[in-house]
Amino acid sequence: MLFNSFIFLIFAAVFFLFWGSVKGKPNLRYIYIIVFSFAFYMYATPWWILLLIGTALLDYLAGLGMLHFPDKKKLFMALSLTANLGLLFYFKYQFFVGTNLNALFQSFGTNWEIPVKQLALPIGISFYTFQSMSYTIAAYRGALTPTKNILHFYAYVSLWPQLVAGPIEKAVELLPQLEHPKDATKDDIWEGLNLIVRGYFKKMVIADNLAPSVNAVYNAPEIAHSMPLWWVASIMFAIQIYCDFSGYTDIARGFAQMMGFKFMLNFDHPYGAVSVTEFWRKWHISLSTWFRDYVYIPLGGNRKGEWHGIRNMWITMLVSGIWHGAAWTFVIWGALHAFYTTVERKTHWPAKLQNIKGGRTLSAAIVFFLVVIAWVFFRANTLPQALSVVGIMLNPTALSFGPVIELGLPSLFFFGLGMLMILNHFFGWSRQLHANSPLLTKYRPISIAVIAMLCIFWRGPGNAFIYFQF
Amino acid sequence: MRLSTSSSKGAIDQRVLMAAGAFVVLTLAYGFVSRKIDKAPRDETWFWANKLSWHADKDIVFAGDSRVNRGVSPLDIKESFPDARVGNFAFSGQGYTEDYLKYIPSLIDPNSKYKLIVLGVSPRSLTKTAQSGGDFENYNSKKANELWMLDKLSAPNFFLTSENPVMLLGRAVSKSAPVYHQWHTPEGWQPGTRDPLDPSSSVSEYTELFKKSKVDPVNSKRLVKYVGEWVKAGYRVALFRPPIAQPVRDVEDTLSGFDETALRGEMEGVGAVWLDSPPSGYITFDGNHLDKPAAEKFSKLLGQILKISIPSLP
Repeated sequence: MLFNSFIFLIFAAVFFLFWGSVKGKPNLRYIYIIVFSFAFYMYATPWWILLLIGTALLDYLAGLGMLHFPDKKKLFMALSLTANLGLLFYFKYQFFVGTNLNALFQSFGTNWEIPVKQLALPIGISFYTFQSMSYTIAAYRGALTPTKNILHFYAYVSLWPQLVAGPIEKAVELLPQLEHPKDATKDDIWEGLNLIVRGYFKKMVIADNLAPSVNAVYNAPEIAHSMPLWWVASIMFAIQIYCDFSGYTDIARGFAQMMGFKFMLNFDHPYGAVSVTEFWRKWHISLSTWFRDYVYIPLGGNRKGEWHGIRNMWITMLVSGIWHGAAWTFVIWGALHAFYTTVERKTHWPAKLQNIKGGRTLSAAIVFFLVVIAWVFFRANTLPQALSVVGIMLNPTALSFGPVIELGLPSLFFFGLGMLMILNHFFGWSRQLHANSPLLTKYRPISIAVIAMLCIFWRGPGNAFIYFQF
Repeated sequence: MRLSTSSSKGAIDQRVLMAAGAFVVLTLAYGFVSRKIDKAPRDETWFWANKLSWHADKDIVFAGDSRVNRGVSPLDIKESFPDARVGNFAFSGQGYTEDYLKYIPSLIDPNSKYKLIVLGVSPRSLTKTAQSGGDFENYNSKKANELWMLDKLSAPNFFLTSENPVMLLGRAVSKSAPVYHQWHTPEGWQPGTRDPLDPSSSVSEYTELFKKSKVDPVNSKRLVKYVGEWVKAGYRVALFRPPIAQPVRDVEDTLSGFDETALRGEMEGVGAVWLDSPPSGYITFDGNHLDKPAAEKFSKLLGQILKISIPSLP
C-alpha cells in the first residue's frame, strides 16, 4: 500500500480510530498492529506475506533457542543468518550471480551453465530481513533478552509505518517501545503531523514532479551530448531520490510518533555534509549504522591499523552497494563512495578546507558534486550508459544548453524548489527566520496548512517510492 | 471546548485545529481560483473507470489513441447500426502494446452478431515511445476499489486536479492562452475543442517526437499478428487512419517511418479490412484531434463506410 494513495488515508484513519482503545492492552495491541500491518503489506502483494511470516517465525524460534540453549546460540545465529540471507540471495541475487558466472564460464570456453531464474522481488524484503536479523544478532550478543511472546515479535517485524522501506529499527530500540508504549502527547501528535505533511511535500510535490524529466533524459533512446543537461538531470535525480526516500521516512516517523513510538532519524540533511564520511552519517542512517555495527565493526573496523580499516570500509561500502540492487552499477556506486572515503582518510582534505574562508561551503559543494557523480551509476540503466554520461558530465566542450531549455520551465521550477530546499537546510535560512520572528512560530500551523494544500494541487504524477524496489 | 498547545490530555490542540481550518479554507480557495483561471482540460475520472468496467458487453469496439478517443462518437456510429452496443475503448497516449491488444477482444459479447473490432492506427501508436504504455496500462493496473473511487469520487477528483504552478500562472497572465473544453460520455467518447482553434499547434510536437522515435517494425508486426488471430477467432476487424490536419499528416508521412501501404497489405493479407476514410478536410482543434462537430460528422461517415466495406455485417 502506498502512503501517497487515498486508500492509505482510509487505512490510517481506521487504524487511529481504535488505536487509543487497544494500546493499553499488550496482546491486543500486538494483534492490532499485526492485523493492520499485514493488511498494509498484502494490499499490493498478498502472497509475499508468507515469506515474511516464515522468516520471522524462524527468527523468533532462533531467539527462543538462544534463550533456552545458550551453548548452542552460535548454531541458532547461523540458522537465522542463513535463512534470511539465503532468502535475499534467492530472490535478489541468484540471477545476477548466476548470469555473471555463466558468462565467465563461457569466456573460459566451458559448457558449464548454472540454471538461473529472474524473479520478482518481494516488496520490502531487504528491509524486513535486516530488521529481523538485528534481533537475532542482538540476542546472540546478549544485548537483549529474546521475547517469548510471538505476538510481540511479529508486531516488531511487521510494524506497518516502516515495514516496506524502513527505517530499519534495531530490536533493542523498538521491542521495548512496543512492550511499553508511551502515550502520544499533544506535542507528539503535532510534531508527527508536521513530519507527515513535510514528508508528503517532499515526495508528492518535489520527487514526483522531477521524476518525469529524469526518466525522459535517462530513458531516451540516445544519450544527449550535453554536459549541462546531464548535470541538471543528475542533480534532479539526487534531489528526487533524497525527497522520495526521506519523504517516506518522514511520513513513517510521523505516524509512528502519533502512535507513541520513536523511530530513528534516517536522514539528517545529507546534502549539507562537508565530507563524504559525514554524508554517510547523514544518509539512510539506519542502513549505514546496520552495516557499521554488523559488517564493519565485526570485520575489525579500524582497530588493526589504517589500511585494515580502509579494507573493511571498502567491503562495507561494496556490500552496501549490492544491497541496493543486483547490478554492476550499484557495485560501482558503492565503490565510488569507498574511493572518495579512502582519499579523504589519506588526505584529510575536508578538514584542511575548513581552515580557509568559505571552506565549509566549498567542501559541501565538492561533496555534493562527488555524490551526484556517484548517483549517475545508481540511476543509469546500464553500466555503459553510466560511463558515457559521466564522460559527458566531465567534458567541458559538450556545452549545449538547448536540451536543458527543452526540459521546460514547469520542470525546472521544481528543480529550483528542490535546490532551494537543500540550500535552506545548509544555510539555515528558515531556522534563522523562526528564531528572529516569534510571529512565524505562532502561525506555523498556517504554513503547515499551506504545505498540505500544495501537496494536493502541486502533486506530480503518482509514482511508487523508489526504495520499494529494494 | 478547551484548546491547548501543551501536553495535557482531553483538550484539542489549537495548533491542529488552526492547521486543519486553514487547510480547508486554503484548499477551497485555491481550488475555486485555479478552476476559474485554468484553461486546460480536466478529466472526470468516472469516465476512465467506466471504460475499465466493460466486459463482454459490446458488439462493436473502437480502439486506439487519443485521436480515436476524441474522434469517434459511438452514438453517431450507431446511426448505421441501430441495435449495436458500441464502445470507444481508446486511451490517451496509447500504443498498441501487448497488454492492450490482449484485452480488446474481451470487451466483445461472445454471442454478438457483430463481433467487430475497429482500430484507429496512427504512426505514433506504433513507435517505441508508445510501447511504454499509455492510460490503459495506468488504469488497468488499478485495483477494483481504486477504480470504484475514481468513479464515485469523480467530482472531488475534478476539483482537486493538480496543476503545474508555472503553467497555471502562465495561463492566468496570458491573454492569448487557448481555452480548452472537453466532455465525457458513457460510451467512451471524450470530445474536445479549443478556443481559438489552431490546427498547426501539434506540428512541432510531432516533428520532435519522430526525430527521436520512429515507427518500430516490431510493433507493426505485433499488431498484424493479433489482428490475424482475431480474424481466425471469428472477429471482424477493420482498421483506419484517423483524419488529422494536413501539416501534421505531412510530418507523419515524411518523418515517422510509417508505411501505410505495406501495413495495409499485411492487414488485408490476414483477413482484416482497411477502410478508406478521407484523411483530411476535417476541422481539428490542434491539428491532431478532431473538433467535436467534426468528430460527429466523421463518425457518421465512418459508420456508413463500415457498413459498405464489410457487407457481412448485420
